[in-house]
Amino acid sequence: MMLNANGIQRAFRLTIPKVWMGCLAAVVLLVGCQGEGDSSKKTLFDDEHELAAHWPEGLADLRLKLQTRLEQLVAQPERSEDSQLYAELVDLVAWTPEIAADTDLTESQWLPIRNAAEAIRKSVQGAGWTDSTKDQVAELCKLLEQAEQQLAGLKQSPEAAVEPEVTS
Amino acid sequence: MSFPTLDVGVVGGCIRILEGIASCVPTLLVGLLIAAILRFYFGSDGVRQLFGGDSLRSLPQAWAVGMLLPVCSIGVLPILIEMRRARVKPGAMSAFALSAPLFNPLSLLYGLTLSRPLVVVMFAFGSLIVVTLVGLVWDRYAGKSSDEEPDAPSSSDEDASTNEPASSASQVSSAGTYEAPEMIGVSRLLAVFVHLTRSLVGPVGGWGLIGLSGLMLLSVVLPFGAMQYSVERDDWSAPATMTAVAIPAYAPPMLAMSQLGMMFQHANSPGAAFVLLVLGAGVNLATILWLAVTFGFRRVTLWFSSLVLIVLSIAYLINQPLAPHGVEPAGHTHAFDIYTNPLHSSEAIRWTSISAMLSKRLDLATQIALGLLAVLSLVGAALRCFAVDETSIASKFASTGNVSEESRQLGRYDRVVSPRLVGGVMLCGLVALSVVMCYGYYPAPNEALEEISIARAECLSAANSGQLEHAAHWLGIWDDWSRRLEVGTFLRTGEVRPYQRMQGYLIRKKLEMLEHELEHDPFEPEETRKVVREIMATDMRWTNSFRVVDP
Repeated sequence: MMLNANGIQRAFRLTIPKVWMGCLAAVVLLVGCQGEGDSSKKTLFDDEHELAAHWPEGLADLRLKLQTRLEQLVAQPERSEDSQLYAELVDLVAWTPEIAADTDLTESQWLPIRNAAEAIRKSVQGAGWTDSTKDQVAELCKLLEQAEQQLAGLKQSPEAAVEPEVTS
Repeated sequence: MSFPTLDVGVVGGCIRILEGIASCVPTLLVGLLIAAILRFYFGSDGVRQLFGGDSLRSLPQAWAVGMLLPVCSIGVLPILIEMRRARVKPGAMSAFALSAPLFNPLSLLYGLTLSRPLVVVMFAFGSLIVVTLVGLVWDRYAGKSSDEEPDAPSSSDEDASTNEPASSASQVSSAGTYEAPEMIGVSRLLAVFVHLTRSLVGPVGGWGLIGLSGLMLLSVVLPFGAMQYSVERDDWSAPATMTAVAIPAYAPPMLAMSQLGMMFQHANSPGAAFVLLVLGAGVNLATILWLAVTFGFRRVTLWFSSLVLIVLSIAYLINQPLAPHGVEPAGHTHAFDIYTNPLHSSEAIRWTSISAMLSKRLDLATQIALGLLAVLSLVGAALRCFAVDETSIASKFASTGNVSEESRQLGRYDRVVSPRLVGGVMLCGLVALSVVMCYGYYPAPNEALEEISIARAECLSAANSGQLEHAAHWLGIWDDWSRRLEVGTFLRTGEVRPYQRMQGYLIRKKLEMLEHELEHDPFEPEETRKVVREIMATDMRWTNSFRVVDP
């Protein structure tokens, strides 16, 4: 029997769903017949989030880490921009808005810190680590210091002592 | 990594297929409705015109139409079938097939509120480049233009993939395509309904199941949680891995967009995110196989390999430049657990736990959608049993004296409008309705905050008292509402402030920490309470930033 291109194509149209289901069943059987999986692991969530070694513990730690690295840069200006020190400084600047937002700073207190960090990120992307960028980091450290003082003031106020309750 | 056993693979796959059916119902029904409108209101010439005809603009025009219509990669199938009947250019069909499932008003709004909205805009234009290049390749090397031989007369009643006999009432147009019988008014509306229900239990339903069977395949191959470490930002193989998973996967637009959100939150590979969007949301096994049986395997092999090559090239090109700044990579993600087997390989299969798993996913909206699907399927099956189709409706109305336009007594304000105008209004109405739906799905901030307060109380109380499943259930709802709060705010004020965005990021990050605590074996009450306290502090800042004070 002669089959033209249309005939072959139409034969495929009829058979393809069946062929596909057949293949699927074969895969299910083949794969499914393999042995039991690794049952020793009780939970798949044993590994917690990986945190970088230089992840700051809070606002004060962030400022200290920034200042330490900035001082090292000033002391050794010939250091390559590919070095670990620069990479960590970039990370710390990038994490600043998140660390600051995770405190009791208000939106208006947080915004200058976020804007300063964003400006540093853009400067580094554009012109690399210039003296002006390093000055910006020093300014950011000052802002963080102010924020620490504001937070210390908040802790002394009576409202901050009230812990939120689980209610709807 | 070890494969799941046979029973776990099959049962897990069935669960995934059921979930897939539940999530594709709205977009599948919209796709069937659009296909029926194209058939009975636009006709072949109108459909070709809608998708740019033979002009150069057909590819971007098909992409633009696809961006507007709210369908998924399964809902796009009935429209593709109708486009084929109308002999739309294969390149334009490919452009529409790939772009329509990627975005719709709901998912685009969701995407625009992600941490870097520019990325979503770039992804949208990236998809335009992909569909244009792939469409050009197909039109130039693999496909024939619209002047190729039309499908056999069998396509008058159903799509080209069925061999049902031609209906006497259908007509052959001057262009050689098979037109639906001419009807107006109630008879045409009835024909739309009949066509929709018959297609649902016919070829479209069959192809839809083939599309969803990819989820079964993934469940068999990928054990529970196998994708948690596969798409890290620094993993060069992440886009390639995602390609292998995304091709058989079925991802509705909203799921794909929420997964993009999670990928940015976890600083996963942006290239893999792009692959997920274009190949995961854009195509499934049914799309590829339907194109293969319609246009031939050789052509579709060329089309598909060009698609994969172009998508992978773009993915590797953007992988580093689009890496999110200031986000510490989480090291793993749960965003793709949905593509792996839902059951642990080590667990015994118990019907009670499976039914509990399914019932959690069956919220009211899903139950309504499944109920509607069941009713329409029953009607379609009954119509097929009694051999009732649109042509029999046309002849019935003709025999009972359906009034022709010429003999109709027109009132003073009556205007005779073309079917295309009516169809165009219906399609525009669908787009407008989906925009209106955005306001319902993403309510005003104060309403969202009320829902969040309920979810928060349920989740945290349960976590503190060790009711792990209850806490995990409400945690998911809380996380979902956190996104909807942001989109609802963006919709009404035109912006989400950086502080609001950052607090949203923090609350979701801490909710994930809680999720880990809940799944920790053995459960650690003290650690959990510590995380709960942190969440409460963040939640207060986060919700306060969204509160709208009444004047």
